[in-house]
Amino acid sequence: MVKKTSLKKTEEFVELKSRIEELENNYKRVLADYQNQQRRYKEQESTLIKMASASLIEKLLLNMDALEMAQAHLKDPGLKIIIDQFNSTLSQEGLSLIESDRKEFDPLIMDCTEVVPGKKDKVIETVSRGYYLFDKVLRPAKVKVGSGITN
Amino acid sequence: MSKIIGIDLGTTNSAVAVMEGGTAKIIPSSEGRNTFPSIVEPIKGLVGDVAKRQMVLNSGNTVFSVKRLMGQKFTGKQAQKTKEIAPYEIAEGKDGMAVINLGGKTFTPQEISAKILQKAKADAEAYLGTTVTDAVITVPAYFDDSQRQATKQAGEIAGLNVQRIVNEPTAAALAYGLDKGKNETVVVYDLGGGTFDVSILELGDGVFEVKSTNGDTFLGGDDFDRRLIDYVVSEFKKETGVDLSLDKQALQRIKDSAEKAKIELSSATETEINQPFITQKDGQPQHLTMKISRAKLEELVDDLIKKTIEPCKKALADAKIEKSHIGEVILVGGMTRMPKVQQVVKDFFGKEPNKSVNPDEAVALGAAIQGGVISGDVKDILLLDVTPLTLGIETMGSVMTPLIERNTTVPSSKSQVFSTASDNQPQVEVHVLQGERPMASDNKTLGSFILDGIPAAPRGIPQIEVTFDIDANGILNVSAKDKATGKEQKITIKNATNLSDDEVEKMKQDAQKYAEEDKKKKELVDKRNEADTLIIQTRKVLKDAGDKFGADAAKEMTESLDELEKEVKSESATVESLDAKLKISTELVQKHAEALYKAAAEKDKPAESTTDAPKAEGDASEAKTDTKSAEEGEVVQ
Repeated sequence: MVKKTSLKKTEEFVELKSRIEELENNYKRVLADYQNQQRRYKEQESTLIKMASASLIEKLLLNMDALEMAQAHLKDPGLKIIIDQFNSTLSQEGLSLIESDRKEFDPLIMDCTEVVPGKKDKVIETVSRGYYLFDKVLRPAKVKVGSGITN
Repeated sequence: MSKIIGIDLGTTNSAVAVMEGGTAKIIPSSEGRNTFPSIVEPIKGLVGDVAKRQMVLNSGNTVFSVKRLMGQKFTGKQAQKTKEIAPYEIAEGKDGMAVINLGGKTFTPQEISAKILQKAKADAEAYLGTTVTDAVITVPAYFDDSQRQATKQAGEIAGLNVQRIVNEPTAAALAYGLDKGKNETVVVYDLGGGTFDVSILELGDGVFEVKSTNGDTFLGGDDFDRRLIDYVVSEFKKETGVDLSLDKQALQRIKDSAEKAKIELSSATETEINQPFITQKDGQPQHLTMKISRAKLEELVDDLIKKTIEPCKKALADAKIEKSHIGEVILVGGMTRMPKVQQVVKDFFGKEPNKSVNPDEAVALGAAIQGGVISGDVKDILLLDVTPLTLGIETMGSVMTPLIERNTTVPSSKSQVFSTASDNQPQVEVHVLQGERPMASDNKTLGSFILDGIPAAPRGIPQIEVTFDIDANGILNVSAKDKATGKEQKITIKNATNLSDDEVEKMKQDAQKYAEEDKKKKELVDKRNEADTLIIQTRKVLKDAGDKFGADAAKEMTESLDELEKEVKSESATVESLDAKLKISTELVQKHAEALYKAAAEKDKPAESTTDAPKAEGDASEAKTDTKSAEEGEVVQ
């Protein structure tokens, strides 16, 4: 009789012990999750602030494209000043141009929209300019790439 | 055990998610997007957006829609159909299976899919900051054994232990939280970029059974885009005579703006496509500007949407289920954001579809939840409950002031300082309420207690801190403490979160049903409180400094206040009637106060007069601030 009780107690003890372990594990897991999230939040915080304007700038670039297309047609000195002003404002926010003309095609920063006669894998024409926002590609340059066949 | 990621390995796009802090979260790709194109250039090892960008240049070596070839025989219908549209070479490999030849090498569909999974793994590792070894991958419900096997192999090639292959509709149902105990029939309507699937699931005790599945493997958002592009091109041709379909650059620009327009038309009823200088005609630039209405888009794609209905009918017939037995319809895939699609689904199934989860992410999120279940993450963390309804107390004018908002994860604690509603009020009653309605009487009373022994003070002066503390077991402790005397009273309410689903649902529905009525009632109380505050404060000023105003002004104000008070006490008062009287009194008080300050300024040095005007303004706004605190922060006696 005495033995039975102690056996029961041991069982209970083992069960409790495993329960504690389980809970401790869970606790650690949650804590780890939390700490990781905190760490990531800290990492992201500065980029978040820096990149907060990204979506707005991306939209403004469409207007910039339109202005540049107009300028290509009109070649108006006044419009040029407007475009330059626009460019300088955006560059203050961290925007910079992706050099693409006559460069080797690079899918990391360029988007090939058409293959045309010309030197193989070289950018023959930039259709719309690409931009970096700080060190990230905000928008790849849309380019025409040479096919290797020249005519 | 490390984290198990969930991967939605899609035909056109893929996504990755992971359990974090008890909820599934999408892991952004290295390009910062929530999904990435399932496109691979295996020679240079390019995957996703980067592979897509060089597709035009390198179409023969760029593989898209590889999922269509997974586990397929070369001679099979699916492989042959894919061969027709794919610019890359599909050939017969070992055991008659379809393989891809490019750059002088042979790739199995598994190897190509593995590249996509590798990117998913790498993105997850960058995000989590640890190595990832385990994954749950989703497949369409109709995938047969060899297709599932191929998917598993792809995972292994990518260096992942595939813990489980899960059906996409099952994952979606998990993401929608449909696994919680209910036994019901669920329809998953999945209209993605390139494929359409509909599945009927039977849910019982946490077990999902796919009863039937149907669909169209060549119908998706891309077809919708094409319709819109064709329309824009043909309209432009009608207008100008220029055929833009011959101009690749123009076509590219139209494609981009058509996709944008399609997305905008899900929220707006009209949008405009603007592409200046799209082409030239006789040396003159031509601009593309076109208004497109939602109705027009719906007309253009009408037959595409209708094409989804036949598979739905078949799926129901195969599952031998009546429409009336369907408990829930959930939407998956970006195209289901289109209002017309939602409407058609609703009309067919006779049920409002559930769209509470982002349709692009649902499958990946569900896969992550499955991963969490396997690793033990979910079982315990999901025990963290949320308060199903808002908890708060009754404040002046029988208004419910919330302290702990609905859906707050518990344990949680919140305090707020309140005050008295009348002068020398010796006690406050803390009436604890639960519910979503703005008026106290419409909510459920959980309990109440009285804090007495408040020293005599003018209204609004005593500071009574009310604290709500709800623990992980749903036990709510409410205490009120007079900050001046330190005297405290409290009450413990058990099972504050423990309401039956029906009860919660009813209370939420009531809140919605009576929203308009409640708003009016609350407005009336707010107006009354505002008027009350003005009366009390102005009377106080008149009592303290009435002589400074002059007898006429004081009389005028007193009369106006009496008038206002009569209206406040009147049963038939409306917001409008109160507002009219309140406006008269407020203007009167402001006018006299201003005159008072002006007179005072004239007496003083002229130099100071410039600072006087703002002061008068300051007083007026101060009265307003007080009103607000009375509205929100006072406990009724």
